[in-house]
Amino acid sequence: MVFTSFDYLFFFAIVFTAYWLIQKKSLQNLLLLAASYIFYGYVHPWFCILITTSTVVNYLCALLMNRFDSKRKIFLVISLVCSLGILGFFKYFNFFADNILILLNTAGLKLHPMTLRIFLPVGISFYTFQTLSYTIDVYRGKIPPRKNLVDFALFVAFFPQLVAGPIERASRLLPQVEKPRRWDWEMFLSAWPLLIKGYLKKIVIADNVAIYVDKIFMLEQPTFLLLTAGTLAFALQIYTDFSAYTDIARASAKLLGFNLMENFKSPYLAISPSDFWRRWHISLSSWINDYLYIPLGGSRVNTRWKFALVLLTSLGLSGLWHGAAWNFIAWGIYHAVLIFAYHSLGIGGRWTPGSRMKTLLAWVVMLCFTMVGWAIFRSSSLGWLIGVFTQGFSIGAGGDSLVVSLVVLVSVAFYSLPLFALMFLDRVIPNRKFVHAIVYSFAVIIIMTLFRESQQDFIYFQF
Amino acid sequence: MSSIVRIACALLVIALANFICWSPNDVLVEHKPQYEDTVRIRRFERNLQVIRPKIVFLGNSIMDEGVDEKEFSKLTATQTIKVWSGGGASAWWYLALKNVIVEANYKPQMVMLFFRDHFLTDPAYRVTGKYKQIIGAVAKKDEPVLDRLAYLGQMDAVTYFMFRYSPLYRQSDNIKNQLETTVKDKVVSGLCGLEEGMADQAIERLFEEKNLNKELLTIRQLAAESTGSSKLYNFQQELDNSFLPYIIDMAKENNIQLVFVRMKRRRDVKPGAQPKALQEYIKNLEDYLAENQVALIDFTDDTRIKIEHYGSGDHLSRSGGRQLFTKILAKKMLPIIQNLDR
Repeated sequence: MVFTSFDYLFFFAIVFTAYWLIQKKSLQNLLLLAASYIFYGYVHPWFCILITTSTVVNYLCALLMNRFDSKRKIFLVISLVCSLGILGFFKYFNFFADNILILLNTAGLKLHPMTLRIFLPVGISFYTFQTLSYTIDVYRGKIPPRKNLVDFALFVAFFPQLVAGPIERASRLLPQVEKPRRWDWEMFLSAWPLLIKGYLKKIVIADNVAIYVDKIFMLEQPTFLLLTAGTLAFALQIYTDFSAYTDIARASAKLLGFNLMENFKSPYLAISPSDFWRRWHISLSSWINDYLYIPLGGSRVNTRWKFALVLLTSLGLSGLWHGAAWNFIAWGIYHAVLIFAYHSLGIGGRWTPGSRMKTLLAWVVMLCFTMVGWAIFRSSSLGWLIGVFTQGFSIGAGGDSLVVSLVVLVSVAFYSLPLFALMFLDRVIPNRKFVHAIVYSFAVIIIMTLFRESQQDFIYFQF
Repeated sequence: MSSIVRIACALLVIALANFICWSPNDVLVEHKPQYEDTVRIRRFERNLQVIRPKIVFLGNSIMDEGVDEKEFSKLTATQTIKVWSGGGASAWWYLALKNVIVEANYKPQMVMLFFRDHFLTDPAYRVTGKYKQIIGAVAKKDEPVLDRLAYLGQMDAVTYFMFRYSPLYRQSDNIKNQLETTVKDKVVSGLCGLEEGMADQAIERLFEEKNLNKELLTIRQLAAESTGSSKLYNFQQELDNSFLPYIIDMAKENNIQLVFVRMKRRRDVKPGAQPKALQEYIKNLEDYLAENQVALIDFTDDTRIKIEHYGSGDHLSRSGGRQLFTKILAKKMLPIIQNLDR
């Protein structure tokens, strides 16, 4: 079920009403669990088999770790193999099969393409990482294993954040699942601005900008100018699309009495690559940091080359998490190289420039680097991107490319206006409640006007 | 609580303003043509009167690129004209038959309708966005069948409610179009010193199918077609909500012999590429047409049409593919045409 469908609005209205009519926590959790499975299996009921398997395996492994202390490692390995095995098979089988085939064909062994194509279940990367964090934390002794299967299953499948995050930690979400929840007006009211922002970003900005982005990245050979315009548009699209999902997820959770973590903190205001990762998809970057980067040694390894290797592994895998394609891996490696370069220049980590001028300069440079990253991320293949870069800075015959680039850039500027308006509200006049009410009311009218069921899926669904 | 009251008050004021600015009316679907499209339709009407053809080819750009009507006329010794629109699908074909061919003083003896796959029973295919204008060119002010099948019938209850009772919601496509036109014709054209409409033309030229990555395009088309294809390929279920029965009845009432021609797609050059569900669909379509004494000519398995005969996408190339297909078609049609004269 998608947030931007009438089905979801009806579904949520029913769940919300029933949920608050039931006062008992155990029944509320049971209702939320059933609702989460309906939400997830709405189009493909077999998705529920996968999530159930993942839930049961991790639940049992955590309990057994506690029961047989000397064999903790074995159960951790079982949990990792099962979770990553399911993820690997459904997400990466096609990718590896295709690449092995290319490799063998290049070596002279002529083999036919596999006819088996694996269908990727949405959200699998998100809930796999969430369950992994649970078993690893239990193994590390940070949290105790949970005995209540319903509570644990709800932690894995909680519908607002199931399909595209935020990837919640067991230490944050499980206590909320386990404690009784009472109706809280503060919480209820704080959900609405988030909900409106989310729908505004998705329906008004992301879906409209997507039309140009899709067209430009479908071209056989766009000019450099067109690629620049398309990349800027994509930067706006991916941010508004993904942060919209987080906003709606957080708002839906708030309406049910849960607090989900923030996933974005103005990522395009970053002044360095490390700063960018502290602002972009925070739940994933902190996961990578805690379960991969730090265990591998982080920045405390004794040689620069080891540090480079740790970065390449962490961010390369982070890229691969996004999708089974070389451009995602390249995107991860590109960010690893950036962080390494900044670090080598002594401006890595939590570096802050001394003056405003330097901050401005650092911001401009980082914004350019981020855009190059998005070009890698969105391109259909690396060969395609290299082709565009190597053809130089021509504006194309007849000037069509220039005109279309301008149309895209003006449209991007136009569709960015609501985003700036929201930023202005939150940062400059946070206490003018009446102005907020007027702006949000206008936003509701705009959303209702432009709401269409046939909108594009959220980008992060494919990851 | 007070912020909820504030939001509610503001919403109420804006909602009232919305109703005052766009008062509701009874016309749910408006059909507005673009001038160029209307001129094209007038030309078809004139051709019907002046040439008085025995056969009319009805279709879209696939037909226009794939068949040479003058060559066909020569090969079959039968006067033929084309009535077509780029991007036209079943809604456009229904309207063209109803408002252009049947309404003409002179009626042809035969209409050959060129289609692909399940297009005949997909009433909502290519009726919105830029296609709304080509629909508007062949539609009259009141088109209850069109409105029901292509637009209102496609909406769920909530969308229909919004569409019926919120004038602003109904205007949303127009509002979006106006905004886009402002960006293109006022801002960008102003910056580049272009005349009105030139930015649009630049967009059309740049994103022409020939400039798109063929591999990505094919993946996207197949993905789009496979989305919900299980529903679309269910012939019996889709038939009642399609224009097909109306097209057949109209032809019968006006003594026009109908022939449906299924064009071979680029995909079908590879043997066995046609989805199983689609094969079943075509079998059901064939049975239905036979029941209604309508001929179906299917070129999907014709091995004479090869990959080198294609231009962009499913279009046959003008150099080669077109001549070949016109010849094959004429040969196939000759006995049917001769039968028509008896």
